[in-house]
Amino acid sequence: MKYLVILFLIIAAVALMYLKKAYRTQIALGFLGLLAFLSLILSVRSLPSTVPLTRTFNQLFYQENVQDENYFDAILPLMVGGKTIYTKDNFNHLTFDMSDPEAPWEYRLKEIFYGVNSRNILQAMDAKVVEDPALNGVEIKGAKKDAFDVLGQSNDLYRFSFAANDIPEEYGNYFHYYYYYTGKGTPMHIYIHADDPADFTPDGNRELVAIWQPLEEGNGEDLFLMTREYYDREVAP
Amino acid sequence: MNLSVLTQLLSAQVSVPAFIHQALVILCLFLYGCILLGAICPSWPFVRKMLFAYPAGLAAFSLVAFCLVTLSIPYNAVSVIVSCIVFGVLVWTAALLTTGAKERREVFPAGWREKPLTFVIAGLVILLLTAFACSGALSVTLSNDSMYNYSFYPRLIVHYGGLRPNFNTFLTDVGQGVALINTLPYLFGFEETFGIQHMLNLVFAAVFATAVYETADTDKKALRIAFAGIAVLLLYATLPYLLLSKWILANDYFAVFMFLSAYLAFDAKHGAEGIRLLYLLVPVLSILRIEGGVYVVLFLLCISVLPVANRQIACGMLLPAVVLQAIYAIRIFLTMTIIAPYRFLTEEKALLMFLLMIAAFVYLMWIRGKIFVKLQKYLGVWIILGLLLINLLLFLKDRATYLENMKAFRDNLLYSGGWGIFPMVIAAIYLVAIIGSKRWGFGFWDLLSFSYLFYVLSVSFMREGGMHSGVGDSGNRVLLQMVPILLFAALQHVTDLMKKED
Repeated sequence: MKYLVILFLIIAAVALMYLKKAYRTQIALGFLGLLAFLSLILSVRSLPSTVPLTRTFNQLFYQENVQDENYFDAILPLMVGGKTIYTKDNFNHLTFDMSDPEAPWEYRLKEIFYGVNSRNILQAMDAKVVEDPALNGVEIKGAKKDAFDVLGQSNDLYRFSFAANDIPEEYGNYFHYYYYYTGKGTPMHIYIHADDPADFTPDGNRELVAIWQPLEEGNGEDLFLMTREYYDREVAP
Repeated sequence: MNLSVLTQLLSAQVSVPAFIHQALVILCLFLYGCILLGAICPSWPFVRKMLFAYPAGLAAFSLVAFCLVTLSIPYNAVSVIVSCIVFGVLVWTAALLTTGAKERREVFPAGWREKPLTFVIAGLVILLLTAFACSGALSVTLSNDSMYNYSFYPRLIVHYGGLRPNFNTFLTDVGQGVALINTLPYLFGFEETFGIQHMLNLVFAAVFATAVYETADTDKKALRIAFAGIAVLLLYATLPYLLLSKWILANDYFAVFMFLSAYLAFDAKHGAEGIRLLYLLVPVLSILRIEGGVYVVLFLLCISVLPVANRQIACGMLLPAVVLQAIYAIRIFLTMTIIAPYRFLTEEKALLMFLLMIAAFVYLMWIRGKIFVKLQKYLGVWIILGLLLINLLLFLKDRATYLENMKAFRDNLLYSGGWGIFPMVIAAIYLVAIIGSKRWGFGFWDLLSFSYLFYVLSVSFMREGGMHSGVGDSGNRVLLQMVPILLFAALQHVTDLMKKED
């Protein structure tokens, strides 16, 4: 239909120009104006279905009113920046020969994924990371997990965690690219708990704890963030 | 915990300072651009300087930032500010040394003393536009590339104070010029660059309107104004340009700077000084996207059909672009080891790009206007034929991939690529203008448009996996970049009707 309308406009414009040679320019401008009007109507109708549009006044990258892929990981820097975050200290630094096609490298890389890359991302978000052996092996499941709220899916944050890596090989990207894009892995989520939501604001509580689910237990691959206070009271074994 | 509550709390602490900081950065870029234009384009009217100040400031910042990170100079707010000042001093020194007292220069836009009211009004307009651009009133669209290539990666550049080998595919796949523009939030205390991009689009609307107004071939001011107004409405009513302008990626920046560069080269009225501004804009164009260096070669060949001197193109525009690409290639390929499962820019492609740039330099310095002069009269034809030949060779090399690309191209254009009715609109404008004026010419803007189309088809072929159907496909988005230039090309044919009118 829209193409018929344009065709009609072309024919009308050319015919009018032939009949009224002295007003060629005005006819052309009218023709352009009608094309602009038609484009505007169709664009306004089709733009929202072509790409998800968002509009917020909060000056944050995170766009609250989008259902999928609203980049919760964009909020993380605001939550952790300038704060002290306690983590486990038994991160692995496995080296692995990626040219070996026989080795089950994806599982080993997962340990690294859950290790140095995750810690380094927090550091890259300007958090001061303090490794505490008391956090090694701590699990969050069942009722403890239910007390947390899910911030959302971390999208491709871990895929690009290689950029914060401090070992030469790009384990993070290889891992995520293989593991998730071949459907073997489940999306990572970020869980948070604070008695007062203000604890996660830049002016809030200065001490947080970060725990990742140990993969050996078959739990979801999720990051849990909480205040130090809450950890000591409710989570610590 | 209610996530909305958390977001509101974050907003309460962050929003106002972030708004103020982003607005101040935009105003500083404006001011910076004004100061640079005082040296580069001293005799431009006040309003014209206002139009180009922000793009000039943004380009200069991108260039300075690029030099800092590729030369391994610590990258932080202080070093950036100091370097921008040094760059400004160098530009002024160069301008004064090359033209001296022959041209009257003022640090601040000329004419502000004589017309203070114009200056005040212009300042208010800029303030209002800045506030509007940063307010969040204009919608955006975000994707993974927006988040990781143009937010997460820039954040890491600032955190680590420069580039590091572990950035891997960020170094080989991301337009560094735009990534560095996106470090502005992390240098100066805000969270996103939506306002910076929107401001560029608002300024571009005014530049596009001015370009149409100035090239309208009629003495009737009312017709010129109407033509310019309708042209801008047409641009901003089209689906592809709306997509470009709202998508937080490199494509919008590239499209805008592509048009600005083309217009300055074409604009004979403001001639020599516009060409001098290209010494800044064209090298920056080469770093805005990772394939930018290749496009600059094509772009400069197209410019060479215009009466622009060899030295200006070769030494003023191409050579700085070559230097920028060289120091970047040395930085990432010789001083770092990139280990990545996929990359767009490889050592071989970088070498190919250099060979193309050197060949273009040789042509411009020693062949253009000197050897095969009769053949050079049809340079536009040779460019199109050359690109068609390249596409033919690619087709013969791998027919299946090439045909897949063409299928994806067709699907994107007709159905899924966010083009809407734009292709039909362009065809309609061309048809009516040519039939109405009975003039059929293939001008500079047509050359830019059609050469760009064949260029994208060949560059997409070089990407692993080729083109895909879908608005988000990189090849499709690169094609969207031609929208302002293609529309302007069509509108140039409408001006032929005005010639008949007179």
